[in-house]
Amino acid sequence: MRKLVLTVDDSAAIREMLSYVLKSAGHKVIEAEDGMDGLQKALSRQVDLVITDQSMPKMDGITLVKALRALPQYKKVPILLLTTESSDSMKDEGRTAGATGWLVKPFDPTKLIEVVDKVTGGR
Amino acid sequence: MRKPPSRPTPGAGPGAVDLTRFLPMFFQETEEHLASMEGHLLRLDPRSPDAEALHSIFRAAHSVKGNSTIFGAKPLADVMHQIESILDQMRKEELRPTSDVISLLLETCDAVREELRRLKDSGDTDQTALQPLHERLERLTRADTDHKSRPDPSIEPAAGRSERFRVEVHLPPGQGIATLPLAELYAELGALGRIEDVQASDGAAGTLLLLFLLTSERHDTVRAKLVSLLGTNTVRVEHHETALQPAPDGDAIRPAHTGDTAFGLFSDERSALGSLGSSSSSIMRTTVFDSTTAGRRAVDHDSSPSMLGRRATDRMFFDRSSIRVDVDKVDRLLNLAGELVIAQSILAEAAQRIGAANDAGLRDSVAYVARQTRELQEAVMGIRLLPLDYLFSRLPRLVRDLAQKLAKDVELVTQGGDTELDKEMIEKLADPLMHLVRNSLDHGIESPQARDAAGKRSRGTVQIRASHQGGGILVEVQDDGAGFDRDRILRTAERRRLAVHPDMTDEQVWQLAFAPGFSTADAVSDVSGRGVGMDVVNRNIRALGGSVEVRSKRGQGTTIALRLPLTLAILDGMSVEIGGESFILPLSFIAEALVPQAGQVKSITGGPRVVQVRDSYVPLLDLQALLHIPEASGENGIAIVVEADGRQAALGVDRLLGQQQVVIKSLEANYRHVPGIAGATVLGSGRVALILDVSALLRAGLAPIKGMEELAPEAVER
Repeated sequence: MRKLVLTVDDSAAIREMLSYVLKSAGHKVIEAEDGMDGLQKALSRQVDLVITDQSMPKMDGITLVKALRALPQYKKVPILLLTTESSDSMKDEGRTAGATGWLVKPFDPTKLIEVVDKVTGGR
Repeated sequence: MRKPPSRPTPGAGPGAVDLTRFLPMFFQETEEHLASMEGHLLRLDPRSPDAEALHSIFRAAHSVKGNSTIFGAKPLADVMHQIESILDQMRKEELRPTSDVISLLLETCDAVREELRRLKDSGDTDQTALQPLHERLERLTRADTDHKSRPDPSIEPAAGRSERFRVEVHLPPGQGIATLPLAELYAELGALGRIEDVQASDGAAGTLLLLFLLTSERHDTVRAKLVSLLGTNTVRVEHHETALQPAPDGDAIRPAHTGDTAFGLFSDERSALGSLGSSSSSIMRTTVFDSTTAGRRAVDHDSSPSMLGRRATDRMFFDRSSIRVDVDKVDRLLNLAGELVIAQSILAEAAQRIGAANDAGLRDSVAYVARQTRELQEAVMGIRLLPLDYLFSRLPRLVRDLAQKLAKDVELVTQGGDTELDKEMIEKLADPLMHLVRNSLDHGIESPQARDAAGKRSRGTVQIRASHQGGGILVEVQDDGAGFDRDRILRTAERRRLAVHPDMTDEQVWQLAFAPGFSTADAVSDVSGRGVGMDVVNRNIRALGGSVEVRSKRGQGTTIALRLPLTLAILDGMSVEIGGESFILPLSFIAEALVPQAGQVKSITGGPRVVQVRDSYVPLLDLQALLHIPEASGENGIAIVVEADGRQAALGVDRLLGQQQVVIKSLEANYRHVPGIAGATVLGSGRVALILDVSALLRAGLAPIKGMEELAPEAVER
């Protein structure tokens, strides 16, 4: 099913790549370049899934997750953290903040789509 | 970019997509992150490092690390990981960013940049190149956790240093968070600084939204902004006293590759994930970008050549608001616009000939074409303009390294970095500018002791200013150092048997410094003073159609002003006629033009003809002979005094046809190099006119003149 995905990353290259992969799987994509931008875009438009980087200017990924989870309309929307490493401390932080799952860069396009489908309940 | 040959891919889906095309973007971004790291490092105050700056450096290092894993360049990722640890220690105030530490980090940036270049060119990294740095960084992190060198607590935080605030937003029961103007609130906080944490809790007393803000703004500013948005009763802002928090992403300071899972869901970490992830976790990282290299799918990460492949040299950089275009394409466009200008002027002349003045319709449309052509040409030239920041951004590093080497304390101030100049001009300006800055540090700025003794601030200043000035650009390099030493320059000039006399004006004395090979440096240092100094600067700037001017005051400093045209493609010229042919003389070389009276031209026996210009004599060059123009019909009635490489000469011409802007066409590209000719242009009449190379003509013309050899030792080169 076609979903509206918000991708949040300060790297334009990662954003382009995510968009490319998500769009080729039939999803629609909104891009944001940091946590603050992502939050504003999530506020202005209800999205079905958020994929966010961790380390970003203005607002990092964990803080974005917390800020989104503080909003009634984003209590249940799946949020994936896209990180450089998956250490236990990151997982702890992510889980506590309320993220749905994590992905490690560089990501496999096929797996990304599988995870997206799984968390959004599509296919 | 070439598409991979289509072949049946197992499970053809998004996994089969070719992601190598994103590589150039990653390279570009990595370079930008390195530049940003360098910039922040150079500005870091060792006594009181700013938390926000440290965070920015950390983030840049983290991004470089992340991209390095995408390139499959583990050594790069590893040193960046070490830098993260070092930055983390700095944030916790366990390690002080001393000048040595900053130097080491800068060195690492250089080495990583070098490795990236290798990676981009050859598709591979030198696995051992970073090893020495790796060990030094390792020693640093270990040494400093042993005996923690905390910042001196007696030092007050510098003004503008960032602080953390705890922002509480209280809402009465029943009023949900959604009732808040959240978009505005976050926008306001985002404008103030960085939001580091958000917590929301519901209770009997109502809802509490708790935000932590890192900002360099003052408490009352933050409070005032929030109160005006939310009201006094709702919001509370307090200093958040806890020490610097650990890295927001704690994962960053762990060993880079722990063989962890590539993804997972928090809800089913231990159970249902099997089908999705854990089994394929070790392949995950490598398979991602290997869609074009079937058969590599199960290669271990560290030995994987990553997504780089052989196509790493493809350059197709782009970002969101700009496109990157090959310079050749822009040049072709520029060339075509230049041709159009010529075609337009031919059209205008033809229209005039058939009497367009009487035909309003024709006259207006010719004028319209002229206007649009000019605008088109300006717009196309605008594409090639780059801000001078491209050059200026290299200077902080140069100044820092040099100052350290020379044991001087120097502050660099740049101004007008947004001034735009043609790309080629910027490239050609790089060497002269670096040279001038090196000179200022080496010969201009005194040692701190000498400055103290002279009653000056012990820290010297080098200021680089750029601005638009008339139709061109003015770049000034100013230092508050010792200034030129008039007596010493005169003594050196005498020793080198240059023509000097004690009554020379300061300006004339400074001009001596432009003589080839002139250097007053007592010892040849490896910084500058190798005797290839100012004359090279002068020649390079002249070659760009610009000029160099010196202002200097003993004990107060020196300013070198470079004046440059905006572009190399167009030239302000004087159109002249010699022996029935039209030539263009670049205006930047012309000092004056005069019509000599009978008695003013003299022949010295056995020497050159000279022409009297006010109270001195200037050699008069026979252009017709120099340019091999057979027809000696001209009367050479006009003498144009030109100046190049610090020497003057007069050129005899028959007629001045007028001043005009001409589009420069390369003669070498279309024909071959002709001595004494810099290029060609097409005039409005459709005829071709040659552009004279004044420097070369002077070298050729003055060489045979007795007594001039000493002034022009390079004249024999050709």
